[in-house]
Amino acid sequence: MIADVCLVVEGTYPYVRGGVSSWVHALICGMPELKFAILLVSAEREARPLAYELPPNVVRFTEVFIHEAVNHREPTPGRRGKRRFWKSVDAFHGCPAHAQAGPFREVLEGLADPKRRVQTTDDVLYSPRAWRYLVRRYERRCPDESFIDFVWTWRAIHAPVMQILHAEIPEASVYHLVSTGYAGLAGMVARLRYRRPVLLTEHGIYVRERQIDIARADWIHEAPRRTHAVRLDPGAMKSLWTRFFRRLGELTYAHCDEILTLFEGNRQLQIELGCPPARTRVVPNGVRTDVFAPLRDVAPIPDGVRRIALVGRVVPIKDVKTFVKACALVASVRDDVAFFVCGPTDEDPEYTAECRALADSLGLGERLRFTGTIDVREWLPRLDLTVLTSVSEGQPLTVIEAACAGVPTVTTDVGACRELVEGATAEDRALGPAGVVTRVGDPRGTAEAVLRILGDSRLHRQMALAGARRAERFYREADVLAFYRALYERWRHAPDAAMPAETEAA
Amino acid sequence: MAGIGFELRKLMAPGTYTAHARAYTYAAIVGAGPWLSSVLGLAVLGALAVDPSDFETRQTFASTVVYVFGGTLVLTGPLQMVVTRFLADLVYRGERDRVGAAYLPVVLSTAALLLLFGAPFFGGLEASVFYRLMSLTLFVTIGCTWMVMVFLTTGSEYAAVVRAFLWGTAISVGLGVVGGRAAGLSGYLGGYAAGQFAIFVTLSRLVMQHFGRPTGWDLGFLAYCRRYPSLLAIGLALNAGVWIDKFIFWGSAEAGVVAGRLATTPAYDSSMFLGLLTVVPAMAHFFLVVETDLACVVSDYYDAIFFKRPLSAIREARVALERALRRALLDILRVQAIVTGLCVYFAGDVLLAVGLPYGQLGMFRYACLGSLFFCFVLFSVVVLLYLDRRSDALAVVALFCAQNALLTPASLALGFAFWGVGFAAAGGVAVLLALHLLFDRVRRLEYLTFACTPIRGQRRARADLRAGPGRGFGREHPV
Repeated sequence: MIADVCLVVEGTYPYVRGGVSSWVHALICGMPELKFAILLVSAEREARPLAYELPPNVVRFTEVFIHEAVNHREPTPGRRGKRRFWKSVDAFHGCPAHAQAGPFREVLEGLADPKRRVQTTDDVLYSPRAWRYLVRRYERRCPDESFIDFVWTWRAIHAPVMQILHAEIPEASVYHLVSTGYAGLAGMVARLRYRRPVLLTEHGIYVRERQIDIARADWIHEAPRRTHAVRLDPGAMKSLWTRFFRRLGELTYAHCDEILTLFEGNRQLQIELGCPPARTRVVPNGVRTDVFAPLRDVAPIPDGVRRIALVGRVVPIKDVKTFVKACALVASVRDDVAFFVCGPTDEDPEYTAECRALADSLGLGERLRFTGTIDVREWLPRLDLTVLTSVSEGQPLTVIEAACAGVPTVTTDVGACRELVEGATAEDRALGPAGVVTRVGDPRGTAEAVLRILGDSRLHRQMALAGARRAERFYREADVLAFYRALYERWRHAPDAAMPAETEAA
Repeated sequence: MAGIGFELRKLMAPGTYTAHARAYTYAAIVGAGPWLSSVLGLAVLGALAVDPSDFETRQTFASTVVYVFGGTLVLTGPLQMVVTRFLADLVYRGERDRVGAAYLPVVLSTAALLLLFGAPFFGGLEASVFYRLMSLTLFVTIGCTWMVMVFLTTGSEYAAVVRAFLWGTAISVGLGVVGGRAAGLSGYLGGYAAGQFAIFVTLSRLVMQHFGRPTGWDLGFLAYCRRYPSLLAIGLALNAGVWIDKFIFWGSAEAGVVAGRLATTPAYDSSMFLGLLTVVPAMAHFFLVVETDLACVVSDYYDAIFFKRPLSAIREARVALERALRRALLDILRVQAIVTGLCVYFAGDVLLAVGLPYGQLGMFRYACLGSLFFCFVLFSVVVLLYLDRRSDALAVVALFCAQNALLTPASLALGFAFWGVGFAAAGGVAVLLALHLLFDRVRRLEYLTFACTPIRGQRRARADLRAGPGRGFGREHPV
């Protein structure tokens, strides 16, 4: 059965909960009239429980594995073109980003097109010809680095690529990628095989996230430096990895017909990473306003206690410790405030324990509670204020949900948070602020903002109103779904799509 | 295993002619001890003890010893290869204490294997019970001596090894003469076996002393048998390759039978053994100089890789290896070509000197030539194994064995003048392949080193890894 839309995700839906997964789930549930296929890129074959029950309009769920290390020996009808193929590989590796689409298409055809395949996985990883090529690359790029590290990095990069190039890809009218990287590669193979349009929605910017991972990774071998001087470059092997993901990102952008992201900051990052601006567009996350707006009418608990909460997982990226310190500052001024950390505490138990210990040492005692996972619809009406102290965010749903429910937010200036609180466009900003934006890692700033809003009931009312209006105007899930429905409609019926190299040639 | 070779090299340190001579003699004894001991023993016993007119006794005794050597070498060859590798890995990983613990299990397994094959064979000889018992004892003793030598070459006790062989051979000869005078054939064999047994016991004690009293039994070599079946095959084909022409001759109409089942062709056998003895200088040189040199350059090469050097440094190490290999083979050729050339040229005088009939001239010449080739085959195999090219080593020895098995019947059929041509030609063909493979592999060594270490978890593209029949790879979940 040919699906209408094939969603290509990496390491998330339907196994792991989180922002991307719930977005995918909402998309599928929101369009019951469309038949969806899911292509999930996983690391290894393992039995795992589903975190989301697959909606009935999912017609295929295919999982492919990048770390399976299968030594494919598929037939190679195009093996006569070996010399030409390796020339293309050389051209692909050596050319600047804007000229790589042509050679890339030839490489992709020679490896992933069953009718024209030139070389197998075994050839690419172990043949003498591939070896000669690898040696040439090494000599050109980093002839003084550890050779064994280069060989293994080379293999570690290309073995997963070969898995994707041999992966099963469901047939669909349009492909919708949820990241670049390996999902992006699968999307390019889909385009080559089925000649159908490919769309991309990036929540976080994959290339940037990988850059940060790689910089921190200790599994990539680096030769110890002979000098003690501080070096700013990340080392040859790490830069091979970074370059690889960067290339994959550029190529994915070049092969997608539309490239969407959640907020303007991300769009700028995409352009910086080689995305053609004309094809980019911002489409924010949305919330069910029909669910959250009525919460404004729920009467608060009439006990005179003010309640403020951080809604989020207890993990270092949320910087819960800064929130705890801010709470202590607030508590030292007002004794009518209760504090909550609302979110799962089991993801990083060590960090949770540290946060609890910090709260105890600051004398917060009973006044700060870790609630664990909660139903926000139940909790938002009781809250006076939500706080976000994250060091990194995309476009956090909790901020939109709080705004929609009439709860102002104090948040750090990360990701889309400023847009969400102060407005993105002129029209949006005219609605007024729905909270206060503070600096990252600044407990005093956060505490001052909290105290200002709690101490000024007129301001609190204004912010609640501005947030509610903003959410209903710009962040309705129904609008998001309508947008994607129209997008799918347009591309599903579009004529077959060529590879970008072909259009360039034409 | 070049362990003892490094120790022997120190003997050459003074640089004098006598120091070199001493080192080479020691190397010859350590490298070919049982061979030399037996040949010497046989010769001396033959000269001193046996009544020259008593052909039957002399032939029975000699045939028994020949069968003992052929049988033990072919039977223990596979295990020798595997145990050599096992011990080399233990030493490399710094687990020397496990060497001692592995000794008893290895020797007992060897003895069990030898008893399994030897008991029915020697038990069925047409000879006295004592003779049958003694021949079986000798069979097991010699077989176990091969294994104990594998252990001792990882050590450094060359002087004690040489002493053990000298004293043991003296005992063999002495008791053999005394026993022979007293009890005839059985006495010869009993005395001879007693000397060999003394060698074995002395060497075993050396292993115990050198590696310390074992705390338990280490059966790691059994796992190696499963892990490296190719080494078992190499050991078998190598030794079978040297003996199969004799076996074919023994099965032919030319063979004479003594003691009911000991079929031999004395003319052919003696020419061949004498031919093999002519390459002892090359063996000693290989053991003393080449193997130790190569062990160094090979480990330099692998160090360059594992200590994260750039490719240019790895290449330099590889080129150094290639150069050392070429030099080594030329050196051996220089040493051995002179000896073999002289033996071929003065073949008649050599035969006269050892008391063999002049009619064996052609055979002896072919034997010298074949042994020279075999020498190079053997060295190539050792070097290929150093580079972990087991499949190539197997190809060489399998070719040698097969050629010998095919060409020997032909040379047998062509008549007396062509005896030995099969062995020589088989060696010639094998040496061509061996040298070709050796230099080709060394030339492409960087590629082979990496190509042969695949990604961890690499697996075949089985059908159950696909999403469905004729589909791509992955898993299709039910929806």
